[in-house]
Amino acid sequence: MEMMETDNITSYFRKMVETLSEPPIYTMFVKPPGIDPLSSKIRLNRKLYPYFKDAIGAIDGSHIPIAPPARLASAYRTRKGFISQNCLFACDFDLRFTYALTGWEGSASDARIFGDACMRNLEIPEGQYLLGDLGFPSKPSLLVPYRGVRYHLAEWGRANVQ
Amino acid sequence: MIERAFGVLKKQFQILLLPTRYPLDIQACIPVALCVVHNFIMLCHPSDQPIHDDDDPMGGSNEGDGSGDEGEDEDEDEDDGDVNMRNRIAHQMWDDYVELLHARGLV
Repeated sequence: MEMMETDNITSYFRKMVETLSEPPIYTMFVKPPGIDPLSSKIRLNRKLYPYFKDAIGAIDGSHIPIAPPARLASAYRTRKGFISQNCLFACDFDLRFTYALTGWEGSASDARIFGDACMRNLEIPEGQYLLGDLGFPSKPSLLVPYRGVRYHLAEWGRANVQ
Repeated sequence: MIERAFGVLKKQFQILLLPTRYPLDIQACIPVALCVVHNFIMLCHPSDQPIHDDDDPMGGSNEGDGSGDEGEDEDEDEDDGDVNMRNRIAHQMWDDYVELLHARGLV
């Protein structure tokens, strides 16, 4: 009896996960970047406004633990030694996710997954861009920081005093 | 900022912290499904957020510190157009910053 209940929960969980991660539910709640108008977080911030008016969000990879079959485990081992999948997410300035690509082996780099995402279904409107970190290539659709430049966080903190 | 979104997601949904026993394809779908749930919560009840431990305005962890070594070989992808865009934005910010320092009498 107990066994059957666990099986039921498993199958319902599986159904829920599948339903949520596929259209139409997925496309209803995870809107591609650039569809919504510019966030007020940028528009109303004098430090950000004129410069980042074409930015439509940020993108980064995150490692999420996964338990692959033993024969695949080595590919999922990250440079930090964990076994995980590398998931690529983009979010807008209101902390809503606008894109998700999961299931990549933990050994894959952010840049590689980004390349894959661009070939699949990540569409960034002409003239706009996402913000990325140094793991990503610099492209018209992706703004990354300068390499080897120390950004003065202390100055940014002080600059809050307008 | 995006690190903060990850923080929220991982704090909200503890399932992301440990591997599960589901088949690989389901395990891969779980974060995607949780993004949907997260966006749904943001839409319907924006104030329903887990409490943050840190008040770091820049969005928390410096996990990206080591990521510099990954992109080394991708640098060739940069063409003049990209560099120009980045330079344009940087110059604009710098000019305004210098102007601000002048305005405050700091230079």
